[in-house]
Amino acid sequence: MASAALLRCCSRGSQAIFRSNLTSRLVIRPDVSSKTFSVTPVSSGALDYFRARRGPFTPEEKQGKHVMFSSTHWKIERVLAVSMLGIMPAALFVQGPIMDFVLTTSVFMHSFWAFDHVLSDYLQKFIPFIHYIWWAISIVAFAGLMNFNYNDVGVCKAISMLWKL
Amino acid sequence: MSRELAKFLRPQSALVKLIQTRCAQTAAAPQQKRIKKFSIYRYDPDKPGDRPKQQVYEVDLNTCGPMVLDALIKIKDTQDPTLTFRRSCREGICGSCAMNIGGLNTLACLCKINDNSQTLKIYPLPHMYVIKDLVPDMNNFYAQYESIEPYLKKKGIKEEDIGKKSYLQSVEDRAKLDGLYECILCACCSTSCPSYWWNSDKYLGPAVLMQAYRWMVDSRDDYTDERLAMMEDKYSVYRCHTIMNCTKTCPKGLNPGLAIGEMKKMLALYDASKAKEKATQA
Repeated sequence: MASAALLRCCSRGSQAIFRSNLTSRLVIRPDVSSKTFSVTPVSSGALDYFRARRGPFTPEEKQGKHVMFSSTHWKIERVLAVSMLGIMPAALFVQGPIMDFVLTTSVFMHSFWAFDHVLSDYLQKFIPFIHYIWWAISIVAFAGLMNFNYNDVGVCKAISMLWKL
Repeated sequence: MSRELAKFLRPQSALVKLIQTRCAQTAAAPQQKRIKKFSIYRYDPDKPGDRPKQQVYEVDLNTCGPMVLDALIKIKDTQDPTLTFRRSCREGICGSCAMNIGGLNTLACLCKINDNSQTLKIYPLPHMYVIKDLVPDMNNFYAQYESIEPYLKKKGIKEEDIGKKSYLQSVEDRAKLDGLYECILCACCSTSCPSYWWNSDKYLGPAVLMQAYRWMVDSRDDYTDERLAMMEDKYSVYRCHTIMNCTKTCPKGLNPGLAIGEMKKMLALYDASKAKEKATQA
């Protein structure tokens, strides 16, 4: 759409708009960008990769390759958060392998999605593949937790042991 | 006529004369100057090698109007004609003079100068590219507004039918638009939102989202589901974490945070797959 071209100019800053508008009207404008302050004297190719990717993004780019609607994902996150309001106190009274699993999974999924949002907010524009790293760490962590629940005392027992210290 | 003029020749009592003289003396006496310091952000990209800096101006508040915009105009007229800022209506309805005054985003024409002895700091709207001094680049903001299609869309209306009949709306339906239509797109709210600072290219921001909601909730508009389907991605709406800086800073007293919350509710309750079908058919 036409606004995509406009968004491209906007994201690069007003200099891009002025340069394109004014050069077309035959006004010679000093190239201000060459005089802007920069920390790195020469930007290497490697460092360039980590500069922020600032738009514009088509709706398809923003949606990604997800199988679920964003609104459905949001609903699931909130349902989980509210259910934790019930699971946490219940864990004080009911323990056992099932409660171990329920408690671990709910806390894990909640933190996983929440930290994923933190990465989207702050880091994804610098490191686009950061979500894959977080997925990998989380899978390893979840495997470790499941092993702990299955082969070791389990989280409920572990917490009560911690309190007994 | 001469009978009325004669009252001016009536002899005046000594007390009246004394009062009149005393009043004239008070009026003629030089007033105590109330000097207020303004520390204003200056940046001129046309000057090679120029860096942004603060410049301090002093204004006698006795000779200046009550609002920050009055002070800015006075500085531009009497002290420094190169001070650059946007302004138009001077009554808080156009949204041109939006800037960061004393740490808060407001309209300069509605912000009363606090006449305490502290220096008033004036900056352009936060995290926007600066064209010059207090003038930010609003093109991204406007392009985002355009992307939500902020106009009435009806289904099954032919070109020749437009303008023939008015589209009726009940009083209750019209009341739903109160608090939404008054937005003047000054961008104070969007530029106060940290999520918009970090992701202004993908997150739409409270101003644009409130207008998107305004069209979703308009009973005359037939494209509600398609408008909701447009928001189905991680960034457009869901970067809002209810920080609520937007509602706090709105100079018109509107509530964009609430509108975004209502929109999230609508997104949770509508049929997403049907809406996507409708949107892709169109």
